[in-house]
Amino acid sequence: MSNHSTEAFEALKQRLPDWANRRPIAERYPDMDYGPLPVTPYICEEFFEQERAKIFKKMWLYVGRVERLPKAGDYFTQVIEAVRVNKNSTSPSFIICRDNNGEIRAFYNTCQHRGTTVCWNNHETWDTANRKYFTCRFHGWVYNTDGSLRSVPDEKLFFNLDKTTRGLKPVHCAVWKDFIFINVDPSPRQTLLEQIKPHAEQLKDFPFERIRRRGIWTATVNVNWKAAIDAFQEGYHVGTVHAATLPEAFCGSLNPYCRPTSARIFPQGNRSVTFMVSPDFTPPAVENWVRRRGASWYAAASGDSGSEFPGVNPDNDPFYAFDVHGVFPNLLVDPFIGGFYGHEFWPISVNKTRWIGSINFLAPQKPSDLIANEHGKTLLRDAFREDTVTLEATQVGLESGAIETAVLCDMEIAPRHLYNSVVALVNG
Amino acid sequence: MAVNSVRQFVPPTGPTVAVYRLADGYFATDDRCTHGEAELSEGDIEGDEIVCPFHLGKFAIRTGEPTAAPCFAALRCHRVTLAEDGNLYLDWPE
Repeated sequence: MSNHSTEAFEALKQRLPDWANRRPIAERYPDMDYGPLPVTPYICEEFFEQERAKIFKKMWLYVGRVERLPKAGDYFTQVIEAVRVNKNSTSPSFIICRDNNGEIRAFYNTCQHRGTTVCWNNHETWDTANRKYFTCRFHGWVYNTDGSLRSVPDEKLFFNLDKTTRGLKPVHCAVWKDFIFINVDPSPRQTLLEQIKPHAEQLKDFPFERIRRRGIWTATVNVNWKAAIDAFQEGYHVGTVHAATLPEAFCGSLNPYCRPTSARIFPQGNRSVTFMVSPDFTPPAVENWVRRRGASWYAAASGDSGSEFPGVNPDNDPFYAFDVHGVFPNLLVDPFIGGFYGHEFWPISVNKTRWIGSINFLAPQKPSDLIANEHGKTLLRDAFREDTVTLEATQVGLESGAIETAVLCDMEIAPRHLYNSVVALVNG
Repeated sequence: MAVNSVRQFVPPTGPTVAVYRLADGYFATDDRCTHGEAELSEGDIEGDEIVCPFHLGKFAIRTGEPTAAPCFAALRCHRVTLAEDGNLYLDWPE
């Protein structure tokens, strides 16, 4: 990989953007406003309330993967603060389940007797539970896994109770390649596929269904949700923030600042960015050892787009490492040859966000895959932690009154497009 | 039937029956829980008790006696016999 003298290497090198003389992303998207960005959307409570109303309560939101619900009756719960009714309302909880007919469904986790939360699982443990029925612990109302009300203890004492009107309140639920999304808008303005179209088209053959989660972590951080996403969707920070874990993997003589080799922006805030591995990088011995035995945290850079993983590297960039797909509004899916990383960003308030990061690999075919996966998982876990380290410091500064605008460079196209798209939706 | 399993039996007349197999033999009770509307044949066996799938009340499989709230009325028990032909037969008066 680090043989710099071959013709093949020279050919790959020639295909890199001409960073010395150009700003390649701005040239690709010349109509974008590349001016400074006022910091108000990161710090303003009223703006945040508009985001909740116009984005989070209107759009499809990713809540989990089908792999969490293998059997009939499997379910998990999730609290979603961003869709609470009013600014000071308690946040609603949702049940996402596989019903007895095998269908994936979602409901408000709210008993239709007097409103009690039905399932009390901790939504931050990622446990999957299984029930034949959802029974409210307060008075024992029983719901089928399809949400219909099955049984009311001492039912005859109620007055004209019509059980058919008292099922768990459903929310729209749709699945794309094992990714489960819900939409709390009673009449969604578009389908899930319309909302995520550019990603669904680019990754239509990526083998998400055969990929399994190997690690997942969370942190609740005092930062605006957009600023949190931004720390995970540009490479400019890599040389500094990841000096301890990945000092040379992405930064080297050909690309000292971890510039993306290509980027794409799409309607409605969607975007994708491609990153390269530095050909100078010589993995440590242990990493070489595991890499020969299974998928680690990226595939060896070769220019090969990976026939087993169609859809990666959309522009066929040289020295390919991974893509960041910004799935608007709050999800990043980062496919690579061997699996994908996932990042969810759940706004709690204007300056508090729950981040959930995961690493996912093709289901192991042999024991050595598990060893390689474990190595990749551990290294990425540390890099993810580094990514979260700057978040609170950023928010403190944004709220300090000492900075009125942020200035973004060519390679920070994804943060810029996310910002522009949110502002357009809020003001639209 | 596997040991520690339960299945529903629908007789020609009358309410459905839950048939149980424990380590030492076969037993049968009414299928309908005396508290709610659950079918106990959908429940789980714990020791020699059946756990109702609706509210987690329990009954002793051998006697039908309620052993955990919110169940307070006993189940009706039925005699079930494993015959030499390998079939299970239920005493069914109705």
